[in-house]
Amino acid sequence: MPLTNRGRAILSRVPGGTLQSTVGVGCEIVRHEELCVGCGKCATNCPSGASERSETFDVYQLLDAPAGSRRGALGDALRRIMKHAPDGLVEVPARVTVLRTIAYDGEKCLGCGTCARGCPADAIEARPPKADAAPAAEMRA
Amino acid sequence: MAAAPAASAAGRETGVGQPAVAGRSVVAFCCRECAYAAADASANARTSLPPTVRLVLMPCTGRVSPLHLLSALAEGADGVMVAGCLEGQCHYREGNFNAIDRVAFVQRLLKSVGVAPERCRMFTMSAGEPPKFVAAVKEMDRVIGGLPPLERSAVPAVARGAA
Repeated sequence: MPLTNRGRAILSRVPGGTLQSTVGVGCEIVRHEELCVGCGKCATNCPSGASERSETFDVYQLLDAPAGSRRGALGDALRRIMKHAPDGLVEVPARVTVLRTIAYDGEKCLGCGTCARGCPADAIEARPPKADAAPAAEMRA
Repeated sequence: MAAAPAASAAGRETGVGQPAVAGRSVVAFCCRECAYAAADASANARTSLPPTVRLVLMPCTGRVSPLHLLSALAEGADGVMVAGCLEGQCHYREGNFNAIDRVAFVQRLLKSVGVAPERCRMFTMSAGEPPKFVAAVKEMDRVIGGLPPLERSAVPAVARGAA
């Protein structure tokens, strides 16, 4: 995993953060998939490759999208004609770029919060690490 | 559009939401450069199109988004078709490739929610092939005619096509 200087700085600041184990370091990233517009900025900005555009699309992202948004309009149209709940993930053809689900890998995430800062839809929340004590306790043990 | 294709004019006379034949309707999104030109030519040659079809002029099929297709289906169309240039001959280089992928995406969306994916289809033709356009429209009309009417859940705004 390529680690940027920024990532290393974050790791050095956070108790329990080492280059070997990066799980649970820094902020806690909470993604609100229903707000996501699929622009992929989090994937472009992510220093560790934790967020990536996937090859599939979760139809529930249309159905749960807020009314008035573009995805919400698609969801409204779909809701009127649908016979049953979506079967699951839909494969996305190569040229459809925006209607994709962002795959987020918590194992790779540094918790730096770059994705949350760059998100135009405010779909990502970076919560400050709430339990700094816990990793520190693990370290002592 | 002085020479609007005969079928769309005929469809207009019967009133929106009241298609003449068996209550079904097909919306055809046509690219201005190829498919609409072919439709024009077929109308000039006095070839009749199925009265169920409505033509919608698009600057390029690359303009067609999944929202166009899905909202057409949700607001009363039983089938939507996208008619564009031959592959590799788009006047805007790759608009029809985008459209092909979007149509494929909408088909998968429809399939995943239990709607027949044949309700949305892509056709390609050149401007000089009016018979191919007519054949595509007739094919679409035949396929939609074989499917049961698309049921829509009762949402106040869509009372039009649902009945």
